[in-house]
Amino acid sequence: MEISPHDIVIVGGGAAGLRAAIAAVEAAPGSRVALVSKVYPMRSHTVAAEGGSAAVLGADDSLDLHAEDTVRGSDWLADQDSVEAFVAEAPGELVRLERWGCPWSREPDGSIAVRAFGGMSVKRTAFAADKTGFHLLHTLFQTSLRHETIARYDEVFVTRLLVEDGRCRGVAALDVRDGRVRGLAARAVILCTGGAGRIYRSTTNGAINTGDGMALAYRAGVPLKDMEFVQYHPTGLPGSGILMTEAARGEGGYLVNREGQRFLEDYIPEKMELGPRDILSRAVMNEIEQGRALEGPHGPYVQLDLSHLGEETIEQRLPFVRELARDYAGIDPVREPIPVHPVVHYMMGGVDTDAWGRTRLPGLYAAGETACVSINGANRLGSNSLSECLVFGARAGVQAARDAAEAEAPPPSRLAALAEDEGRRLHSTYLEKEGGRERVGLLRRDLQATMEAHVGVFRTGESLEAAARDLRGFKERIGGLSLDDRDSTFNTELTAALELENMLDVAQAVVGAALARCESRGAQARRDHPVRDDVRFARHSLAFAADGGPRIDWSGVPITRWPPAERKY
Amino acid sequence: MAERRIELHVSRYRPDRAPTPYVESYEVPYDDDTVVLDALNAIKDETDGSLSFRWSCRMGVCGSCGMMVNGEPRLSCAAFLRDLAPGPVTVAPLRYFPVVRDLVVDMEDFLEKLREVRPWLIREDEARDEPGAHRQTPAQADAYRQFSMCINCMLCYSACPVYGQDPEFIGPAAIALAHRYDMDSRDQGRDERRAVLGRDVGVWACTFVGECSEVCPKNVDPAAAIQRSKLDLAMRGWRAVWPLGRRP
Amino acid sequence: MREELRRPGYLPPMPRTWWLRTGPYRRFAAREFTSLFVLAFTIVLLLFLLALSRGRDAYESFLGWLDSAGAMALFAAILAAGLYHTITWLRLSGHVQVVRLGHRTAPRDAVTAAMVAVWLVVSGAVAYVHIWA
Repeated sequence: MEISPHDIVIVGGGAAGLRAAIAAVEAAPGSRVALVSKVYPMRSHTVAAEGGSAAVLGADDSLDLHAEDTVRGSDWLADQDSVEAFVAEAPGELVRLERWGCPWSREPDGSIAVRAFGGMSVKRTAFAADKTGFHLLHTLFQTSLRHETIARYDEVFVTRLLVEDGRCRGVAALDVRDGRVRGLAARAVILCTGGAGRIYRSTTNGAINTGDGMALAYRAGVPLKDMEFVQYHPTGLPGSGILMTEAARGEGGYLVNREGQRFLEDYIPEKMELGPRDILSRAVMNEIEQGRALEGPHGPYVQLDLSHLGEETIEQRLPFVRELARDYAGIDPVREPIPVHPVVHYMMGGVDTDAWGRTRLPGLYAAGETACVSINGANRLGSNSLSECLVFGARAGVQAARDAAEAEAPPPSRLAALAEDEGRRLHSTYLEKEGGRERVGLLRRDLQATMEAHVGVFRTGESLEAAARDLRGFKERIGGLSLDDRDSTFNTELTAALELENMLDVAQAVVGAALARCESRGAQARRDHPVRDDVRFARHSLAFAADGGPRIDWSGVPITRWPPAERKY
Repeated sequence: MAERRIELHVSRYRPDRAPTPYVESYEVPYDDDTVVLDALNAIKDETDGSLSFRWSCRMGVCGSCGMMVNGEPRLSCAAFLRDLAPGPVTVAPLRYFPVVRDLVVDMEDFLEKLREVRPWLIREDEARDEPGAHRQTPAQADAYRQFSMCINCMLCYSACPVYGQDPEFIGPAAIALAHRYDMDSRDQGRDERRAVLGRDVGVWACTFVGECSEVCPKNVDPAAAIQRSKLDLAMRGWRAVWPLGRRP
Repeated sequence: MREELRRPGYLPPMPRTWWLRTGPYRRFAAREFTSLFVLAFTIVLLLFLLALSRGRDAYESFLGWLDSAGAMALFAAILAAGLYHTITWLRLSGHVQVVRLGHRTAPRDAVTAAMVAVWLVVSGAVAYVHIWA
């Protein structure tokens, strides 16, 4: 088997991956950088982000304020040293993107405009109408085309990290086009594969968000940090889960219950609709449980009312929201309120890294939603994620380039053997398998149903135990998968099965960590442990892969300038 | 209430088994919210796991799920079965592209064309640029915004008979993307792109059928970009010949 | 990896009758075809000038031909084609003509409607001068 040699292999072509690739080639102009993505980069889920990207741009703002907002939003679980580095570098990243052509919306004087966003004490969210992720991704992708030294491997699905002598030395990947497994050698591998919202039934995430990079690292012995913290976005469309951006509330939208009341005055009167997402999602779920929500064909919902904003504002600032509401909910938000309820949106947790994207496996890095630095702690503020992808994508790219310059080239023959093993494994597990009665799609639905029912906004020890049992059952059932499709050319049932393997590993990490954390903090709300417990749990959870389920360990949270306080707004 | 059902005739192509495409029929239940993509997923999950197609966001922004629905290029995530009832509905891969498998087409030519038009901000001399963000007024931003909305779904290529006859044609989306940068007040690369657009397989191959703009799900209006580029190139050509009004 | 794969896939050749296959393509072909009628009108005009230059007899005989049933049929066809040609042309102009209204641009259909209105007014004036004045 032949091994393609590279210096840096980046897995995933979204905002973090593209930013890392550009940073790597700029830091080390001669280096051979490969961008390996299971989809063409412009399909990455960054494209669906709407609201904006936060940074300190205005004179009325300060790095300290952004850092403090972020730390408070994280319920004091964010690494404060990393947060300080993040807020310091975010403004430069937004300016860099502007210089690369990003069509930021502007003030009349031509400067980059900023809007209000949840949990931010000052307006600091730069935006490109309400398609910020789309414009960011396309700007990054088009700029990357300028760098011919970035070799792209599109529709190539990485299935295993190649680890040799305690170092990550490359990847084995399935070329979806022809079904062959290849090896790519690298001195550094950066995982930028995004989140894992698809482990739930109702999510804003696209089909591709199946936690692939998280699972790759997990299976290679790297722990996943803070996996229990799953962010529910308070305003997704019922049924489809399609995102109705927080910017709608940033521009002045209201959330009302069945009685027409702006119910958030009972939960977070100081911030109302601009409170942080975990608090708002719990508020909406509470309204639902108390019978003050409306009933619809896709379950109970509350209403996002934009009608008072006027057609002009909506067309200028929220045109995509209007389009989505019309197409998928049959509602014109200029005239009627939009039905919404909380849907899974983002994983605060991910591959354990430091502030330079390094994991504890030499040669392996991670950035973006896949990684957990952590700057988001137990709850992420809206519009910090796009900035995070840029800042830490760049940092990981630069660090990987530096380290790769000093690392040895991996021995090709040994890697070839590992890659061949992986090819044989895929063949025997899926393409040549006889017997077996499980269908990929149906097992996936069962997984999603379990997560939806037992690992939701509100959890109990019992519901989590039930989920853990179900997941162990799925681990057995997945061994009995039988594919209809045994072809080599573009076999998407095979890739679906690989994704399901990844989803199951990630789901087990989520449940294991949620069980171990006997407190409520940020996005984790346990009815049996409703209070935050700084004495025992002011720590990050670390989920290590083990037989039968994850082994949970803990690590400390660096506190620099903001000692833990009551999370009040 | 009785469940509504509809028949889909889906184009299949499995090169590992048979050299030519064939049609397979499926029947699926649907309601007012079901789109063609949902039907394809239901078929794949429950009945026939071998049906291959691309998709991701299911909200019309990633551009993955373009296919021919009842003979028209559509995003399958935006084609509601309630509008196509009573059926049957034909689903086929995007026209004018080589089919790799079932509803999956080869995109390499398209990607190459995107790169050819140099779709990045070009500055004459970056070393002389002042640091910080460029200023751009809302009016300047509006001048190119519509052309920046392309999701690379390739429906416009499937609508274009020029591309169908001559795959060398750069095509609507690539030209619209070039125009987006040409109209961006921060860009100074118009001459470089003129060299690309002014070729025979550039804007001049277009006969203004106009179908590209009709099928575009994002109202990019690539036909406008192409004709305006033709005007720009023609004026450049005119000024090169006629000395009056020549720009310094 | 990409360079090694030189089998892009299955691509049937485009049929010669592609322009008959869909409504939009048929309308496009019809639109292009109307230019033949515009050409025909131009030829008639040139023949008219030629007849004029050849003296009274040639001119009178040309006017006679203009009154014939065949000429009427031709002009009816030219008028129909010309109308279709004009309307499609004005619709296409909406793509090219940018009309700024403050910080918005006028929608294509509005631009087309405005152009059609101008065309009707001018045509009306010309018709008035020829027929009634």
